[in-house]
Amino acid sequence: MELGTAFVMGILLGGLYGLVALGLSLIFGVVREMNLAHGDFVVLGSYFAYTIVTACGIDPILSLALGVPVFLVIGYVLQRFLLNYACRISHDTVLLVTFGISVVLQNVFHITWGPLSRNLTTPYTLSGLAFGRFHIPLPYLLDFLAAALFMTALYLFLKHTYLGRAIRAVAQEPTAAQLVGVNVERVHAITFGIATALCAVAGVFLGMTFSFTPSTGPAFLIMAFGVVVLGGLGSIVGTLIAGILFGLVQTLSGHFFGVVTQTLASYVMALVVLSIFPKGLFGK
Amino acid sequence: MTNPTEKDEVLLSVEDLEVSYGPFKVLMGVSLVVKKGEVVAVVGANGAGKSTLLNTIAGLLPIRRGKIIFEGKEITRAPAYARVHMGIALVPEGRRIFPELNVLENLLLGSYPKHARDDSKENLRRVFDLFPILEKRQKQSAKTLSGGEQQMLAIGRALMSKPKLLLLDEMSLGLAPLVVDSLYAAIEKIRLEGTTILFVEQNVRKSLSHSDRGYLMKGGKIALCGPSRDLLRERSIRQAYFGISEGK
Amino acid sequence: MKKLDLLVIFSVLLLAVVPLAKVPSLFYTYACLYCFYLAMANMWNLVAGYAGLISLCPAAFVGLGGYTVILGTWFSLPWYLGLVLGGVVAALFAVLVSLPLFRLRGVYFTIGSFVVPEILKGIFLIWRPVGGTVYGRGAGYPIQGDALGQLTIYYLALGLAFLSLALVRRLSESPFGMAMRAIRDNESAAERCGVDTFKVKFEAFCISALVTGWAGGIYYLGQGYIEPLSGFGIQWLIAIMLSVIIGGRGTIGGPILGVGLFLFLYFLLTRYGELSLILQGSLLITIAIVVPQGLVGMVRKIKALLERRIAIYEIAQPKS
Repeated sequence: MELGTAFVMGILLGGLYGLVALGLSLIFGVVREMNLAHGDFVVLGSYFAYTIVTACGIDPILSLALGVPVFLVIGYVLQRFLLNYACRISHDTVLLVTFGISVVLQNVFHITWGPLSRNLTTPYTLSGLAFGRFHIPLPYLLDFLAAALFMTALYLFLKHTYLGRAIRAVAQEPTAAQLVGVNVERVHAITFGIATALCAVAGVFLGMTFSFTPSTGPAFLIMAFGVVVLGGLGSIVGTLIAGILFGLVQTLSGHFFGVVTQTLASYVMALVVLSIFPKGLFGK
Repeated sequence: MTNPTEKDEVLLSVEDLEVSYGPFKVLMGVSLVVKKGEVVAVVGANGAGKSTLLNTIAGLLPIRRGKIIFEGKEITRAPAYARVHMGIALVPEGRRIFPELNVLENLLLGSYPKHARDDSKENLRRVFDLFPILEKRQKQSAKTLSGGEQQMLAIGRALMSKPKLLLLDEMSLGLAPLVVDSLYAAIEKIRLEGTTILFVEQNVRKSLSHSDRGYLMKGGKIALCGPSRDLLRERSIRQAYFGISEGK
Repeated sequence: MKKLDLLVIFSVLLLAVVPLAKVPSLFYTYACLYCFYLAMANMWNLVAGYAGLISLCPAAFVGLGGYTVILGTWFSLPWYLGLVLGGVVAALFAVLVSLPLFRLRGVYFTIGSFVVPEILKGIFLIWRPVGGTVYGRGAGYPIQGDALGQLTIYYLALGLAFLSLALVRRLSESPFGMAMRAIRDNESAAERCGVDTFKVKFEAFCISALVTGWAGGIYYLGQGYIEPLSGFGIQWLIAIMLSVIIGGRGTIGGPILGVGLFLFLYFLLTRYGELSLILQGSLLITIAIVVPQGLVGMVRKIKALLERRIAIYEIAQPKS
């Protein structure tokens, strides 16, 4: 892989990583929980799309028409009827519960779809576009476009709608939010639903870019968390930039040290980020 | 001249309220009444339970025993957000504005309840008329406002939900006297528009001078109550809070 | 508490003399597994139950202990030296990793501790310290020379389990234990009271790394081979977490009971493969919400409740 190409691909991929992290950022910032199964939800998104694609033969991106609403509901229900109670017991409990969910999900994947890797390639994912010296595989471009689209949509939603403002309010001052009539529990559930729906989107595009297995989840969790910490809670642009940095670290590491080191590189970067920003960029 | 029957209509009734923080009893059987159109002050020293009382009425604290009745309906178990929809708005101690949102967004959140959304433009106008400085600083981030401006913002936000009952917790805490005066002037205007007000203050003289009736709280209970004018003249209050000694 | 001590000592002595009789080989398998998991669970309990740090790190120490011992045999290191060294390597690694990790609190620490074994797994999947792949992927190695006899492993495991119990017992009752609990309940308050929180967390973490490393070493000595997916795999964490949560965090009896229950479930469901893991995960979720204090914790609460009821009843009785 040529260096310039690796660079560009890293940036494009980073957009998608930003999207993965965005959901986690919402959960961490608004609901004040950590979802250890976040990466597995992304993989669930991939497998979900895979099922629809193999059953109906439609394009994976189109499958999102079903995937997004379904995941919205899954996230809402999970938060409203399980994690809500876990959170009241203690913060540790949420970690334990989401860890349990992660284990369950990974093994459900294993049983249902087997241990072999799958992917969501279509005839066009194998093609690419040429920009001067660079030949960029199409999925990477689509990844970035999708990320940009959904990030913009989320930004507009948070800025200009009553519900969006309520979500931001809950993130900043949950008590005061109650005092203006916001049902904080419901907002938590809706936010979790949105975050899970973002996982569905990320799952589709990641499945089109890479292959996935039942145990791909944790890698996404670690990376998403690193991006969240680096990008800062509450900043969509920050998350995008941090995502791009992680994308670059991955592709550049692949270029210099070989493809096998890519995941390892993002882990090391995540640990480094955590060490430098022990409480995140906007420490609480 | 207001209609005599309307004047006596009870908006809020609190009966024998008992509230505890864990094992510590903070409110030990508090009862009070607020009639429609009134301004009622709750005064008392630090730790007497005034803020706890307001927070409980707003729904932020669970009740061990007692009842809260609003507009004839019992709301004792209603969650805080639901009470806003019923028409109760609390301006909490410390203001608790949304720091990262701008002034306008803070106010718009005040009209979050469905019934207030249609009139949000109107209400916004009213709030800006009441506090012109807020209009000037619309697009500014709320955390950059001064203490007095933040208090105005908090009050304005509460007003955006068209409350029937406005609760104010330690409005003048930490603010300069001039700012406090302007706040009280605003309260007067709010009262004239027909909003019922229940407020809590440490400044006994000021709060009793600006209210119809008052309650004095001591150690989690109501020690005295009556028309504010009478309370101002009451010997024990003058001795305790105004430092006026009249003989022994 | 005293009763539990006697019970433990009695059980250990009993288990020690069991081999004098003719016992089926399966017994040793079960017993060894119980002892491994108990030692690891106790150490996780030390860090998570008493000091309040949810660490997702144990697999790192298990793997390091195992690799040290197995690779040691490739360098003609006698197994007992390799074993001791295994724990030491794990502890040294803990020292190294504490530097970034203990700057983190709460959730940040947990995720950080999750990354560490994953990094090790990644490294060992790529890097082969000696020779070539014999088992599985990456650095899979068998033991050089003869594997240890089942009886030896049995006594080693038993000894380690007892050591872990004694450690937790001793530490939890000491000022060190109080400091741990203070940190668990409110770290900033503990700091203000003069507790050197870094030192306490650090020591607890390193001790747990040492013993967990030894447990890994013994386990892989018994297994006869090691590979990265096994040594640094997440199954250690699941087993340990589930045992401690079922049994009761921050109690002595918790891991003892929890590991027993876990192994019982494990062998009941082992033929079902992934389904067993799904059930384990579900159980973790359920217990964490329904019985967060674990079975031992629940028993304690019931006991306390009953004692209060009885006391009130006695007070209410009219004096004759």
